[in-house]
Amino acid sequence: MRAPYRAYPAKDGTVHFVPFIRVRVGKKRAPQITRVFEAIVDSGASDCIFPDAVALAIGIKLESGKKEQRNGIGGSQDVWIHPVQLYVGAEILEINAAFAKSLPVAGILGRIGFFEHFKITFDPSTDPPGLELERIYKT
Amino acid sequence: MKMKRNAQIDARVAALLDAPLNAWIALSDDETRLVAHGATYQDVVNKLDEIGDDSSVILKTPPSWLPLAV
Repeated sequence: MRAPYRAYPAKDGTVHFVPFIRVRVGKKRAPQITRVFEAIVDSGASDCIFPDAVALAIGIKLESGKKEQRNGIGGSQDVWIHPVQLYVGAEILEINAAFAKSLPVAGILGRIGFFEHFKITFDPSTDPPGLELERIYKT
Repeated sequence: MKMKRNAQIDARVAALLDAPLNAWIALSDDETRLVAHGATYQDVVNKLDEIGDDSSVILKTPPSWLPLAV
């Protein structure tokens, strides 16, 4: 699966190209599933993090999950861990995702839960740049 | 890195600049039009349901259009 980086405006009138891809999140063993939304592919993130609105949308009570903390550039914040299904193209991944009360994007796809399932190539040679995802299966 | 900007990219950027900041929005499937916006994810889903739209893609806009560092 190849996805072009998505264009985001910058304050100076230029455009940034950012590795956002389309995903959906579903509740495990339940029919609830989100609409398609854009999440950023972020190798610096330890795991996959979504805002509480995504949990609410699929019928998950945020604070019923295991409470942990995550460090980000703005400091640390509480997150709650819930098992979900992450839909990426035709792939459905069973992951434990973190949900946070404040997030500047609709989703962050990090190493645990996302990068561990794909060989990912960030390719700046195309215009616009893009990323290539190849599903891998560990034995 | 300087990139070529085509009409679709320009339309996406224009749609994002038209959208409210720190909000949930929906762009058309081709990402050229702002279809809905709201304060919450559910607001946007409700608006999409009202117009029978099942193909738009949902985004969260940041508080400002600064470069992202999450």
